[in-house]
Amino acid sequence: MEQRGWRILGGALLGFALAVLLASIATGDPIAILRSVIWVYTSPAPLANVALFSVPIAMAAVGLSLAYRAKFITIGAEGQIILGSLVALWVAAYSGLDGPAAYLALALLPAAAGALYALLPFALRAYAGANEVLSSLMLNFVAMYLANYFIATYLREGPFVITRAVPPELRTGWQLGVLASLLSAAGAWLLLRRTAVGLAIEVYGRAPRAAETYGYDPKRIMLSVSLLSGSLAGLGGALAMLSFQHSLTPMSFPPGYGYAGALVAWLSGNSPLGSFLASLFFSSLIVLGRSLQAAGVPLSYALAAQALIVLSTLVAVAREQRWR
Amino acid sequence: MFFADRITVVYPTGTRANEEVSLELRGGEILALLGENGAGKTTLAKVMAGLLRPTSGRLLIDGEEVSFRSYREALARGIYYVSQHPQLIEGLTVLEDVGLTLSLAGKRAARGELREAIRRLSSKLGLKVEPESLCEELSAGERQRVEAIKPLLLGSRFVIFDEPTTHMSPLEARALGEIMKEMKREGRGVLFISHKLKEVMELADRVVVMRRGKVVGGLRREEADPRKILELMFGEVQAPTGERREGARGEVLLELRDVKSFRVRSVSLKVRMGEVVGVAGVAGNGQRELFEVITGIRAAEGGRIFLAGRDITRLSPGERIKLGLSLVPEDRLGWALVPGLDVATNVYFALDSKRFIIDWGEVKEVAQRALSIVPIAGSPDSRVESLSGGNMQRLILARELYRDPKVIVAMNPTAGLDYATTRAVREMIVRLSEKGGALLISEDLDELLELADRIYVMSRGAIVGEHSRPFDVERIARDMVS
Repeated sequence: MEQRGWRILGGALLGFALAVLLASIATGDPIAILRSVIWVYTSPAPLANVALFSVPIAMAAVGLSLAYRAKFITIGAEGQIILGSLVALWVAAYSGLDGPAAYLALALLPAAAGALYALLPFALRAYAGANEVLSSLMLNFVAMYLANYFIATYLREGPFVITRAVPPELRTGWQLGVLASLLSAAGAWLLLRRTAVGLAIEVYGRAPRAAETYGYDPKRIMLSVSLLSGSLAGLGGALAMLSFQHSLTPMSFPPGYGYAGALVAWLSGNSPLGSFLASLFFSSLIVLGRSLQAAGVPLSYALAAQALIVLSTLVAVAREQRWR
Repeated sequence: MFFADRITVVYPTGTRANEEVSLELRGGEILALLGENGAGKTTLAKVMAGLLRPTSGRLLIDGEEVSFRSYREALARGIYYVSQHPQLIEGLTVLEDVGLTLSLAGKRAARGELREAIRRLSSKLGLKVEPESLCEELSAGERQRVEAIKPLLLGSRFVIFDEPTTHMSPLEARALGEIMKEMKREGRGVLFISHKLKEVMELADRVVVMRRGKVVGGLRREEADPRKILELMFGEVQAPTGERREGARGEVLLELRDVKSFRVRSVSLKVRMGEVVGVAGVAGNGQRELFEVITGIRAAEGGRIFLAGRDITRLSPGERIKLGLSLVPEDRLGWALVPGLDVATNVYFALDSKRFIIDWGEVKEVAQRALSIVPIAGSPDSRVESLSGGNMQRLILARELYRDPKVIVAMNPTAGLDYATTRAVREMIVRLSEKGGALLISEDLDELLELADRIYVMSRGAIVGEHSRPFDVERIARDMVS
């Protein structure tokens, strides 16, 4: 475990070095680039953004780490996040609910939307034998276009294609989101370590044949990880909506947090607590990319720099996994 | 001449797959290597083909010592190994696959020439091999044919066929026999691994029999008669004198009535209280599928299964376990045990009474109680994959004994275990059967002759014979290869 940590750190540092090099080539001013990298990791304003963006990634990753442990390789978190934020927006800005009723609805309905949407790839896999990787990926597009349809029709407000905004009294800062992702990570960890559901996930993921022979029902296991990861992703979408998105346009999607979550879960070796930490790391790269752009680095270079850091971290982890 | 000199192979699990095995393969002969499953034939073949490094021993070609670091080096030295399940590369055409093998051996051939050569050879041998067809679309027999052509194109001097006819129709098998004869006429040495007596008697110039990792005899064709070979293969078993043990006439605990499924054509059998019932058969005759049907992870397509009088045909695996069915699957890691988890969890996960909140103290206690029945070398905290094969099996049996089951169904429970562990495992199965019944599906006939009160013989998915004590070994062996 410790070794894994060092490896990730080493890989990430190498990636940062390469990224700075690449961005310097773009602007010809390595000092300015280095300064903006340091700024991102030391100043309160960018760090608050890191915390904000980490929330949907972490919520998705924690759920996915459970699913991946059960060898249910869904990448549907993206679509579940989209529906979660859409439902959250509806509750906050359209439903007319306020006070405790609004809080309750915001805590439950987006999660329910994510969980319900996660039922589709589960059902396709369990009852039709369809590969969940493909079906969940395709359903992400369905969710996106569905959301865009609602944005352009029922939720549209005014002359432009934009929705109402979340009213100020329902907006939150990064603190609530980070707390929620920490709690989910801790909850997922407890579930894995202390409950029969967790045991079933571990047993089925490592030895499906043994699980089935000794009375574990694969469908039930897939159903539980689908519902868990779906509701966490839906809640993550809601928190993104309340804390920084606030309103939607057809350009809002795809935000990519769900895909980032899949990557983060993998990076952390499907550990819930590791997912929490890795999502902060990944989110910092998003913020870094933006600040590089502000420093005059073209978008494509900034994205390439981001990708270099992720790639070298992944390579470091992959090497370790092969050696084991 | 290709000579394997005192080859010993010890697997990391401690299994001694080959013990001082020597084998001589000459040019211009077909040498049959016979033996039951687990006798060590494939291990020896893999050593000779450079796929496996022996623990000790050496290989000599024409008196010169060779040492293969890879399959490729063996290829280059004129040795070709046709595995039991030929691995052609999906997505490639036959032509491309053959070309790839040639280039692995350091030979280059132009596409057009190679296509011609394949066509010429296949028409000469009367094989239908179409160079442009896709590998993944070929049947098992067709794949074997492609593999059989490769050594001819390579000019290999020694060709090893590892149970090539297992998945072939009789017609395909005959065609392959012709290829072997052709190879022999051309002066190549053919090593033919099989457990089918009939083909061996038709093709082989010499027969070498392996048993439990050792060569137990060699016969020339003139002196080889089926009876002698069977004796070598299955051992000179003393006709068991033991009568049916006490209490073996109790109620029927497990009954299968005309059960049908994939690879299981028709199986009816009964296990009574206090009885050990054996299912004998050569591997691949539907035993694995039968085991799966009994566990419930494979659905029965016909027939009924009863456990202590109750129809369990439609029950889930978990419900069957709750009713007192106990299982010892043939794969220890991945089927009976979960890799990556510790010993204690591996006891606990298979028990039928689990709470929602897991108390790890209780898990450890349960494991210790189970392991007090059958001690193992290894602590409850150690990872299960760190155990030796023997200790894994002891752990599995400890768990099943702790469960206090009505019927235990075990498949090849002593495969790959050393003598002492084998004894211990057999004792445990007898012990289990005293309080209930045991169904023992085994490819080791000796084991069944020693333990079973009755033996059913399974062949091509059906029960073809039922034998009771005192057993007539020859009749059982004959049923097995029918």
